[in-house]
Amino acid sequence: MRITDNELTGVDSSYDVRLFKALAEDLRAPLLQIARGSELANSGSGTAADLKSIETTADATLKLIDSYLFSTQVMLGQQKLELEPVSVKAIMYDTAHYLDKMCKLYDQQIELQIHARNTLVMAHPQAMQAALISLAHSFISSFQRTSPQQIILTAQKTGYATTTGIMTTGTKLSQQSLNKARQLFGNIRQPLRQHTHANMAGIYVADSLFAAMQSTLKVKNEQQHSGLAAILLPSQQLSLL
Amino acid sequence: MAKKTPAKHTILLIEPDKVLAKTYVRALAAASFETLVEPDAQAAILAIDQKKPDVIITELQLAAHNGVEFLHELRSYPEWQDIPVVVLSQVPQAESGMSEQAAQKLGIKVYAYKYQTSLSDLTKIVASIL
Repeated sequence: MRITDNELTGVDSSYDVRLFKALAEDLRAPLLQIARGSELANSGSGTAADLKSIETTADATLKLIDSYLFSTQVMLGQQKLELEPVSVKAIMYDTAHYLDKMCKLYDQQIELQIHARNTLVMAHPQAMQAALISLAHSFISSFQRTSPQQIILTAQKTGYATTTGIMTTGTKLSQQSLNKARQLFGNIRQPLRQHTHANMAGIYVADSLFAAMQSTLKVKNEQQHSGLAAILLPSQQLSLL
Repeated sequence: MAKKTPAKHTILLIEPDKVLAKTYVRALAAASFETLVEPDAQAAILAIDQKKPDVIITELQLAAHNGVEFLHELRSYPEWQDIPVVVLSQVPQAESGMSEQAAQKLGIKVYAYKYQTSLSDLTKIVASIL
């Protein structure tokens, strides 16, 4: 499918349909895991670990739905995002805690790379966490290879500001693939090149939440890592410390 | 004299979703099938080269090369013409763009829609092919 500039930047009449489809696709994957996992657990050959895996998937999906609902409230103007000084470190640790069990389920390792330890940025704590969780879900379910992958929650000082996002190993992302995912174009289950199960609604939600915090999600490619991150401005409070 | 245990049939499962793959492997093991799992087409070709499976179960939605490309490559090798294939996909056959005739030509014995195929259905399908 060829995408015109208008389609990438303007409003498309079929946009709601594409978003609805992306959300349905995102949610049916974990539901399938839960359905088949329950069948196995009830078959007599199930173990306590199978039940734990079902619980982890269900909890992670509920958290993801919470993030989606929160972003809907923001988009509908029901939730006004008042930006406040937020500790990047605190949000990152909290998010990593939420994601740890899900990463283990996929044989992935979660890692924190915080090079902006004491930095306060102007953000909305709930929106920032919802954005990071949505992004991480997308990455965790996308990068499923035989060897364990790293999911990296990163916060780096870049001059005046702080770049915050999710990185992973092994795959390079392009701005074009982000644009397609952002606009919900392309194959619903493969919005990012070389990804199998990229959670497109997750990228869209994260993008919307960062935009509501006056930031923009961008592709970040480093030597061994690639991912999506947003630049958040520092709190003026910092200069008083 | 000790009884000989019949050799287990080997299944190659090409499934990119790790969590789901683990569940399928456990269910197939409970039905006495030995299952190898690969996440994509390229790894699957290498695995078949190492050990020819009795049945291949594959998703069509795979990273890099899709399942249809994989099946075309598989059938291009004379020694792999006879491996029966079960498609277990999140894409319904009607939306896959694959006609009955094309499916037959690629040696697809059963096309199962993943969201409507239980573990018990899958083991029955595999048993019926072997």
